Amino acid sequence: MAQVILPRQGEPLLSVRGLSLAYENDGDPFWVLQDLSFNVEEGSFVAILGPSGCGKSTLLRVLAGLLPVPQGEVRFDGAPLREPHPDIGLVFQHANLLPWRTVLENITLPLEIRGISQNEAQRRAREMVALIGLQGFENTLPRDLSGGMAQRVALARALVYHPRLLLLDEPFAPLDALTREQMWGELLRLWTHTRVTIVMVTHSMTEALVLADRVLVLSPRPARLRLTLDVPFPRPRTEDIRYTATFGTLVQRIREAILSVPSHNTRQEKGP
Amino acid sequence: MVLKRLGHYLPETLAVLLGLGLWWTLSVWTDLPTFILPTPMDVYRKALYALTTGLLWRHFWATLVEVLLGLALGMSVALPLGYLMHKFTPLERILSPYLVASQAMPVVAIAPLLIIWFGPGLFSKVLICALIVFFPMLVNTVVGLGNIPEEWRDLLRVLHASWWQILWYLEWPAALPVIAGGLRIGATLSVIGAVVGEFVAADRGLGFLINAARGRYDTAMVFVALAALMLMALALYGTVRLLEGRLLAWQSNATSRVHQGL
Ligand SMILES: Nc1ncnc2c1ncn2[C@@H]1O[C@H](COP(=O)(O)OP(=O)(O)OP(=O)(O)O)[C@@H](O)[C@H]1O
Ligand SMILES: [Mg+2]
Repeated sequence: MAQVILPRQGEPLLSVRGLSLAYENDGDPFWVLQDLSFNVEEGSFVAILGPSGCGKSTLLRVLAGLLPVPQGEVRFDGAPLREPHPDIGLVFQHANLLPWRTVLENITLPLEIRGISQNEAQRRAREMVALIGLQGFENTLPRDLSGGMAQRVALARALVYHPRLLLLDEPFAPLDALTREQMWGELLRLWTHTRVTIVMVTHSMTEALVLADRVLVLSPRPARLRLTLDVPFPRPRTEDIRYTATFGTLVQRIREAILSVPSHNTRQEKGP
Repeated sequence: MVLKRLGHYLPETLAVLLGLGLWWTLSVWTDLPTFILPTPMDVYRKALYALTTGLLWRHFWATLVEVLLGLALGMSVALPLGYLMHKFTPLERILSPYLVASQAMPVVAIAPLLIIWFGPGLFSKVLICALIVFFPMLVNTVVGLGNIPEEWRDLLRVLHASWWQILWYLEWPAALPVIAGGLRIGATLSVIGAVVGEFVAADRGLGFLINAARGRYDTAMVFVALAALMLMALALYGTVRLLEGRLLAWQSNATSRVHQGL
């Protein structure tokens, strides 16, 4: 598929070809990403799953245009990605709100930077506040927010300028289990509402399977693509899918893919 | 209400009263001549005189102008230079010999030179104040900018901010607490700079007043001028704290606000 030149309409929103990346370590290369290739179709929800420290954040930073592409190619919307793109949003591993700005001011920040008028920015930010259910907290400072609320503000800040691609770096990892599950529902609601394409990094298999259309499973560092899994559950999904046999089988496949030693790699990837 | 306030500051009030009492007993019982140790009453009468004739205010104002202009000049050089040094690390290396040298040299010692070069007027005093303020402001600017978390910078880059938007939306507000700390130190230092300059050569200012009064053995006037200097330094410090409180309200922790609310 990669070799065929597809018409513009059929081209995926994001395509990664042969991406490898190493950090410098005392002059020696320290390989973090190795020969990654995958596509992300417009409107889809892709989860990237991998063990801790395998290079997930690094991959996301490349996709956000924050790190250069040393080897291989990353294309966004038909053009090579070299720097941050105005149509790409990123939500960091920690909410990363600016502590001197209130909830509303944090959400208007991207619009202010774009030179959108104060009134219009406020209006759109208030819309987002309503969408994430934080009415009444517009003038609250980040230090007075709970982890879940802060993460919702971070989501709103990334969505307020209508990016076409939203990158999420383990946005719910610091949250307790109950809040996290509640946030899954909210994220799916936002995704359906905005129809934004999402690439989400996580190390929770359940999170990946509950949320995504497709799961990319990475190996321990250096990250290679071990398994690409299309999640068969229809939408809208309910909590119940977690107790189905299919769910258990998929979890098992992912676990085996991560734990398998590289030489067994190919056998695992064929799958059932 | 006032009584409650006083009650709250009881230890401080007692300490001040005790000090005054000690001074009083010492000056009255030891029977030292007034030009060595004036009594509190002597100083009080002198202060009244200096205030009613407008003498004190005139000198106070002269010094204050030097202090404030010096602060402004020192800051307006230190802030942009600190920014440039943060952006271009080679600049830091190039400038460091001069910066180290300027710090190793006590300002008290360069003051005569500056007065030779720029005359005994306002400008040389402002320059001395600016020099003394400059270094802490510069260091704090560089440190403040350097302490900004990389993740905040990444955020601004993802949002496609230009360099001046990064400066305006991130670097300035994020470095402000540390820069304000520099200003707090600088304000007090600036007063010292002004007095040093006035000691060397001047025809006005509180430093001049002290020098002139000393020549006349008018020790009570020296005390009055010293008190005025102390008040000026405290007022400047208080103003900076007040500004910090307004601008950096986001920093104080939530629990302390709950406390104030009660
Ligand atoms: N700027 C850097 N310079 C050198 N090494 C780095 C740098 N950033 C990350 N690394 C290393 O690269 C590896 C991958 O880091 P990365 O943060 O991408 O992993 P991750 O999968 O996101 O981990 P986690 O699950 O803990 O978030 C780690 O071993 C890390 O120490
Ligand atoms: Mg990470």
